[in-house]
Amino acid sequence: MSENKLLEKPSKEKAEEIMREVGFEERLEAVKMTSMTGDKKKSIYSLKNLVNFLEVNKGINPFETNKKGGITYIDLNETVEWIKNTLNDKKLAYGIQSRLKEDESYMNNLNSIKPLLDQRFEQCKEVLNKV
Amino acid sequence: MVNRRDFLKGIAGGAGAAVAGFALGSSTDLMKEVEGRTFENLKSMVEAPPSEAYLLVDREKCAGCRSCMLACSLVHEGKENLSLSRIQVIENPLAGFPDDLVQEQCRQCQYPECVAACPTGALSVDEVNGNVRLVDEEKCIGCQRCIEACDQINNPARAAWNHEDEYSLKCDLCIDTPHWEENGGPDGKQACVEICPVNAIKTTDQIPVQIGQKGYKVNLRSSKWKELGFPVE
Amino acid sequence: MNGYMGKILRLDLTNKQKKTISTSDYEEFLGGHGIGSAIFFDAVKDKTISPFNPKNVITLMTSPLSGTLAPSAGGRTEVQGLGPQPYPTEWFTRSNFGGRFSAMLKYAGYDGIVIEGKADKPTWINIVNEDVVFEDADGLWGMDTYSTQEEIWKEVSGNPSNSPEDREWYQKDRGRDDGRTTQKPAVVAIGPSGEKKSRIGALIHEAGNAAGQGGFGGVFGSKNLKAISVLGTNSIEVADPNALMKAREWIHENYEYDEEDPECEHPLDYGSFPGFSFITDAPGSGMGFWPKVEPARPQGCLSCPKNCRMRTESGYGSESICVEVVMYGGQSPKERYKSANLAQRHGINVYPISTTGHKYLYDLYKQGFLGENGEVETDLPFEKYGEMEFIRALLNKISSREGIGDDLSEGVVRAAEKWGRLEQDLSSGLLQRPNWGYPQHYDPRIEVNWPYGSILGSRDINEHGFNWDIHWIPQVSTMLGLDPVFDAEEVVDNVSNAVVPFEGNKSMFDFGEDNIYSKDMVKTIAWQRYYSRSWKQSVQYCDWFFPNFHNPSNSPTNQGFTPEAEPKFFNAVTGRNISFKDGMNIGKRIWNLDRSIWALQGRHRDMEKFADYVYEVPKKAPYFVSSKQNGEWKWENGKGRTLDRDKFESWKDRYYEFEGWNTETGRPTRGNLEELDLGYVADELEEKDKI
Repeated sequence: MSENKLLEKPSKEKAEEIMREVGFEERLEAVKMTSMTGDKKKSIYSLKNLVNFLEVNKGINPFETNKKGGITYIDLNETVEWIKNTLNDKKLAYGIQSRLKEDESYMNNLNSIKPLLDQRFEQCKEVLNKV
Repeated sequence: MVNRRDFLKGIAGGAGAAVAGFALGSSTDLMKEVEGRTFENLKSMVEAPPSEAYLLVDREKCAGCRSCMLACSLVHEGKENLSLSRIQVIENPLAGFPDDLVQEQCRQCQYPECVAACPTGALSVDEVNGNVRLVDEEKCIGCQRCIEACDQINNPARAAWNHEDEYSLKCDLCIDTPHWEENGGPDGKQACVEICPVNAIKTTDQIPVQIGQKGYKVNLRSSKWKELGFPVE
Repeated sequence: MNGYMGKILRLDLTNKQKKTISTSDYEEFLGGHGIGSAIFFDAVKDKTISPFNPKNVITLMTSPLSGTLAPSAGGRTEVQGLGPQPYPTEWFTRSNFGGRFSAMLKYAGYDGIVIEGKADKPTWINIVNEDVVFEDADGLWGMDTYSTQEEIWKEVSGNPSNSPEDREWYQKDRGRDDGRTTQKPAVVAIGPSGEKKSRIGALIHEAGNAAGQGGFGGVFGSKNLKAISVLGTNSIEVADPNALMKAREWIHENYEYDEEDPECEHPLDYGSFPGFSFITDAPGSGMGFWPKVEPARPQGCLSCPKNCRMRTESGYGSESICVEVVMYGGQSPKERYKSANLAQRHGINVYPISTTGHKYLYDLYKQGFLGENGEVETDLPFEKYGEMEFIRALLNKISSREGIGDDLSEGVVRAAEKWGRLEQDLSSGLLQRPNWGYPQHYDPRIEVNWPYGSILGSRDINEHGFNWDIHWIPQVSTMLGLDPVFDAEEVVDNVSNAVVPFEGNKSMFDFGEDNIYSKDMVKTIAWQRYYSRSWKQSVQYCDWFFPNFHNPSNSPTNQGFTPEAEPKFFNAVTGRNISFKDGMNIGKRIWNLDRSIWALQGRHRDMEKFADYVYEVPKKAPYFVSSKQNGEWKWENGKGRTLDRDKFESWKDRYYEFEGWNTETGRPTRGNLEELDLGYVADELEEKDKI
């Protein structure tokens, strides 16, 4: 199945909204865990931040190639809410939500949503001519 | 064991072929010098039987920890001193890989300039112990001619100077390690090989190509090294 | 005694005087940290002075194992003195760096260097065996740490490069009697940041060895000291060379990674994840996923069997590990490693400006507090945050003290204080600095061996010994959705087997919500303090190799080499015959000496409190630790926990009592000091009314 069929392209206005950088109070808190430095909080202010943080756009499995880089942790439910209410991208949020499984590991859940995040990010860039 | 036939095969690469020619007596008048050595010089040296083992190193695998140097100094001299090591690892930590590091080991040369230069016979080919080129510390008078001779062909000289006890040092493949209970020599263990954490030093009983560095600086990386993420080519 | 060179160099920069101290006067303190503390105690009469006062004494100390084959202990240097980084009090503190400086110092004939005073102009110190020269550093002042080293290499041995013609034996003119060497002098230098007396100025040696925490780069700068170079050709006498060699073979055969069969380095299906980031992990493991990007080699400090760093084709990230390589996310690994090199060149302590530092600045920018129109004006290019341009600008400003860099050069905590933000941001956790202004490392609400040890000391402890086993390995496997690689009970068994003299007490490793305030946890902390002060910081076994509790190379029990290895190498080199426990007792003595120095600086138990967020803001992410629940050992998730203020205060009572300290002040007592043969220390405490 082509991943491009998963979500419809957003309009230009919608893409601008999804791609905007949100304010301080609207940030999503993430945690980078590494063997050397322990847990470090990160602030996610945009879809781009999120995609970069999870390194999804580089085709990197954070648990594999990024082998010494550590674990990139986000609270998945909180992330769904953030995408839904803060970025106001309901379609992406529902898409993600439908893929999350309660008794799956963090990694498997993360891997299952990464193609969606990646696709949405690329779509928005395309719509905004930022490719 | 390396027989004479293997020996000839071993040196029959590059300019070594010409040298082998000398050894067999088919000299040519045009050939006055080979590799900076005179014919007379070569003739005397070529009569030295080949060492039965050689140290090989992998410059791209070495991790620069110098454990080999510390082990060498320790088992031979009973002290720790990089200046007393018979293998030298030289680093420029600010240079890029692989130019940041070289390992320089004794070559147990087929034509040992150091042996030829020794005026007392202190440095000789030890026919009892696999023909290793060996310094007899008791006989060494500290003239340093072996070091100078080696220095003419190698940067840096592989023969080192023990300034504390005033004798020359050179790799003996651990034949004489008074401070280590293991048996060394061509058929035994070598301290540097035993201790290297990345297996960047090995011995071989095959005579390395004598001309240039390639015979001694080899690739000791297997596919496992690639699994660890490092280049193997 | 074997292993020691017999003398310590004492250099007075004010009067350009060189003296030596006899090492034998201090050998009872082992080496490194112990000797450094003892010398500092004797040399600095008024311990309440500023770190920038010329009377502050900085020690760079070796170990009897420096320059020997003892694994991971051959190249580390312990640095001590009053440090400008700890907040709010500038405690007597410590740092340490790897490489080969300590080895060269011993080959030159010295067990350490004691630096006091202040030079009247920029100076570097040139040591070649017995020749010690105060050199003019006018030409070096302003240079970055790499250029400084290259200039000094050229000056001392004429071999700045590694080209074939530069591979030579040096010092030949004096070499017949004095020895010769192929090695470059080992140089430790400060960059522009240290010159400007930054509290986050680091000492840098070679490409990536740094003594960062403490701010000793700034202290060097305050003394007009640009660099120290050492080149030596002397021998270190070893009591039992065969025993040393055999011991190293024993480690090699039983506990090291096996590059020819790296099975142990890949215990998980996901490649060599940092589950084994101590001993069985792959060479080069300290540097992340660089090999996928460009060719590199693993690289180690002198005598290290682990070789956790790398050198890369471009040189970016060479020798940098740990926090340097994760300092700045950047857009690509290459940028990540470029950032690391920039920080090393400037000579900036990376930890305080890494994720908790620049992230904080960006959060303040988002609040409108920092920026072109912010309450605090700055032209830092926040719109380029995440790109090289931002980190380049930030490092430049810190290094030059230009604009906002002047505040940040004092460290983020002092900058936040100046901006009136500190209290609220420590309370909300926006700024994660739990103890003494140092960045949060492992979580202070759950894995309490880390913060407890830190708050009782002077800095973030940065000691991973327990951490790999009781937190990190299960953390990784659980997040990956795998069964834990190791059973919690097996790990706790192996750890508790090894913690002599408290061996067999498994409850010491129960990090459950109640047990973290128990008397068992008192012993956990005491063990770690004594171990660190003796075996780790005085004998100077590397934190990434020692202690070793749980080692999957050593089947079938997976028991690591602690407590067998520590005295084995020490005794082989020195010829002494001390037990592991003897070492721990010396560690206790050193710990109490440090504690006394802090008391003289005004330490009181009321100061030993964490930032408010540790007590008030629950942990948000999953965090697994060993714990016994309903009679069963398991990996427990500490998510949602805070530290209980009152219970922690009660735990302090228990800890002080255990040490024999005054529970009202937290200070050592005469009784407990005399028991440790530190009566002379008690005298000074009494004289200064601090007992």
